[in-house]
Amino acid sequence: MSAIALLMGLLLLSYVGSLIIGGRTARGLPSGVEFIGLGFAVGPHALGLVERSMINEFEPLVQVALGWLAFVVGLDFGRAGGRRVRAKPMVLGMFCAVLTGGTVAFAVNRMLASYPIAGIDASGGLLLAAGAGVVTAETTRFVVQWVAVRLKVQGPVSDLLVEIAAADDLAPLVAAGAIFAFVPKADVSLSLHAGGWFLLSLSLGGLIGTVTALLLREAEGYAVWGALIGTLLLGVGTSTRFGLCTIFVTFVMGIALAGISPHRRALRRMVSPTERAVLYPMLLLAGAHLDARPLLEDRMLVALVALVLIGRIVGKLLSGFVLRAVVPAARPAGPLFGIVLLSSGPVSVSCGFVFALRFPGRIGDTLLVCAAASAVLGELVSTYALKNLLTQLGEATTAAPEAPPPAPAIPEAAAEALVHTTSTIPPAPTSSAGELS
Amino acid sequence: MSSAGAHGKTWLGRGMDLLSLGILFAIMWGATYMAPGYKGEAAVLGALGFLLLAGTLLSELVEVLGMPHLTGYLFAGIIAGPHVLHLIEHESVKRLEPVNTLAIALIALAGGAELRLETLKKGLRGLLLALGLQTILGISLMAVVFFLARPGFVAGMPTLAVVGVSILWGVVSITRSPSACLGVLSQTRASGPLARFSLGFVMASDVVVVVMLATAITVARPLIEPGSTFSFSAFSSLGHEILGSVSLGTTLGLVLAAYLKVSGRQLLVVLIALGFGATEVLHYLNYEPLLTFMVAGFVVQNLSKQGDKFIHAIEETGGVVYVVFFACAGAHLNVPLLKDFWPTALLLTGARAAVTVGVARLASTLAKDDPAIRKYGWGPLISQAGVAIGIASVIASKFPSFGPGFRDVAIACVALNEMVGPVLFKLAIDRAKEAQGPTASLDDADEAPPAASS
Repeated sequence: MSAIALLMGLLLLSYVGSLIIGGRTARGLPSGVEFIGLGFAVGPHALGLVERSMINEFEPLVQVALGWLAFVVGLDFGRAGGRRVRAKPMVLGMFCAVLTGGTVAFAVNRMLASYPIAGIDASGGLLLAAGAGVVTAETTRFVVQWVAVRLKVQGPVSDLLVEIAAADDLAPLVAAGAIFAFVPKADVSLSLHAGGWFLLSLSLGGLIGTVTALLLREAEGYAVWGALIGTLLLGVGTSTRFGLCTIFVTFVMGIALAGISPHRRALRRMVSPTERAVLYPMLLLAGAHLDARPLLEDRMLVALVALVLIGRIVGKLLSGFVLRAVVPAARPAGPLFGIVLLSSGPVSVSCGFVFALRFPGRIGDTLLVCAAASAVLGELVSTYALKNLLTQLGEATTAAPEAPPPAPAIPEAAAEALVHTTSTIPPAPTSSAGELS
Repeated sequence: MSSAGAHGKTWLGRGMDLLSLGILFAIMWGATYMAPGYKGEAAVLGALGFLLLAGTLLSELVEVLGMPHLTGYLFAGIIAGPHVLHLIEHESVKRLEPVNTLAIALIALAGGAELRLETLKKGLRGLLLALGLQTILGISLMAVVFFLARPGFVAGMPTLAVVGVSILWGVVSITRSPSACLGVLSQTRASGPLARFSLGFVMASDVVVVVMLATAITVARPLIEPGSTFSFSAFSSLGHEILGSVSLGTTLGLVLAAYLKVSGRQLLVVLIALGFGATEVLHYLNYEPLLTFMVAGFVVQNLSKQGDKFIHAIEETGGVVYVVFFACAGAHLNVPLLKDFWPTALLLTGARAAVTVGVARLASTLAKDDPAIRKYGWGPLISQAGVAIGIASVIASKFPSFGPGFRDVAIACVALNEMVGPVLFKLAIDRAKEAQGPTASLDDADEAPPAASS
């Protein structure tokens, strides 16, 4: 397959992704894991239709896609269904992510201390443990949306889950930024300690977000897209050049822009429809990048991945206990409430992917496998558990949700955002609970 | 390429633009000098983002001076490029060439779609006369000027050979810049006789130039290389190229029109796929992408009712692409070469401008064109860009004995025309009072009542 053919395939996926935003039936799985599977199938380690060298050629595209997704998350951070996330669920969401990530990281660290894996030294072990915590921390924002497409969802538990899922992206992204700060690039003339690199990441994201806000003051027409794309590319390019975590930088950029720009509402309306269009090609490339050979060569790595999954289950179960203890409305959900938090998605895979790109080899590959395995586990267990739970609690009824208006095409969305006479945040593609993306 | 002026940008706003530009240069400078020698993909991404932003900001700033936005894009590329501040390496500029592929496809599609048969018919006589005179007189007069000027690289060549080279120079002189023309028209949203004439002339001249190049090479070769024979072989491949491009362009146009009618969604993705995918196929078939896409755009506009929708979609996509395209052109601009060859370049450029203005006035008087065309019809004809450099490169590869010198002088001339031409065209459009209003801004989107939930 030539690079142009692969590009056409990715564009086709992007086309499909943007078309199904507003559809009710063909939404795919919440984590988009089927695209990872497709990528793996056509990738160099399965059918070999896409070669490794070609995937490397597409690395800039991947970096930009990852950056864009994190930027979208940042721009909409702290909001769910068009509303601000309340303070309590916000804190709880972050806490649950830290608890799960911390549990996994601790378990991996202990395992590596007891049973060292060949080719992974002490610092590599720390990196692997911390990375495992990062790729397993979140609960995807799409899981409740997935259920909401099929059932009419309304109630305190679903609202709580929506808010938790919207708030918990912060922890893994900040952690990824911090981890990258500990491993600066060797060919940079600037010498800083880890805190300095982290501050630099933060400042870069904040500065670029501020510049974007300045640029968008009086921007018109396609200049708005130009400013968004330009600042994103500059952010991704500069952070990659310094070896900083691109997704952290662009996430901060999104938060800064949302905080400063008076046009944040219009921007969210413009940008939201692009999320799926960018996500699917990225997931396909993540799947193609997935290299399971280190796991086949070393069974200890298989054990490590299994431990990561177990750690995630334990972490989420603990999170469930905490939620039930703190939020009375969640108590009827039962002791296995945490199971419904197991769904992971784009943020986890993005984190896994940036680690795989920045630390190629056993560590990066293993972390990407962990992210993919975590997404599969979530699909197998969590999505249906959530559906059953919400049905049992009476928050989901089988009455078909109201047909959403078709989502606008990307340029149409931009045009609409620019000329719309009402700036009320438009209804998300699905129901109220689905207004996440 | 937004029309900020009409929205009334304040001095504070301009100051903010300047501040933003300063921050951008600082970030880029920091990245370049703290991670020196970095040649990875991130450098290309950073360069792309920087050119896009710096180009947009500079375009707003040069607007104060009445200059077109694309001059701002060009300056951004020149200043940050490998010949001035070195913030963007030559390698990065080269790796950004796929953007040019996309831009050329969009420019040609837009150019074709802007050509409406009805309006073309109205000014057909004037257009054909202008094309004919600019081609015949343009080539002849510029060949004479070149022969008399005899730049350094033809010194020592026999007189007949210099005549041959002069004919080739004549062909380079009649090339125009569809991208610059569309760039200015897109910014000003010009509408009127001059805008229609400009578009029709510049787009059609592209086809004429391809034919004239083949003719000139056929005629000039025996003069330059006395041992070679007179051969029409160049016309055989030219016929294949032109007919193939027109046929494929028509098919593509019909398919696009059908798609626009049936679905019409996600045109951004479709246009990107066309820009990259179809161009690759066209290169493989040895067809001319510019002509193919132009025909496709023309078919969509004139054989369907989807023209306006199509133009709108291209404007949405193209706006961003044009900034990078012109900024890259600026970064590509060989400033040292211009420094070396400036006396020759100035002479040839000045002569070309004089010939172009004179012939344009003659043609429009003979054709009894609209007063706006009679006065300012020369406006879009000064700019030169990629087509001229492309033709100079073809000549350089066909005639290695003098080719490099020929190409260098051509690039120096194009550099001047590229900087001056759009300014003159914008001036012509403004004087002819054909510029229109601005597009909607984010402010317009925010003017509605606040969201209840936020």
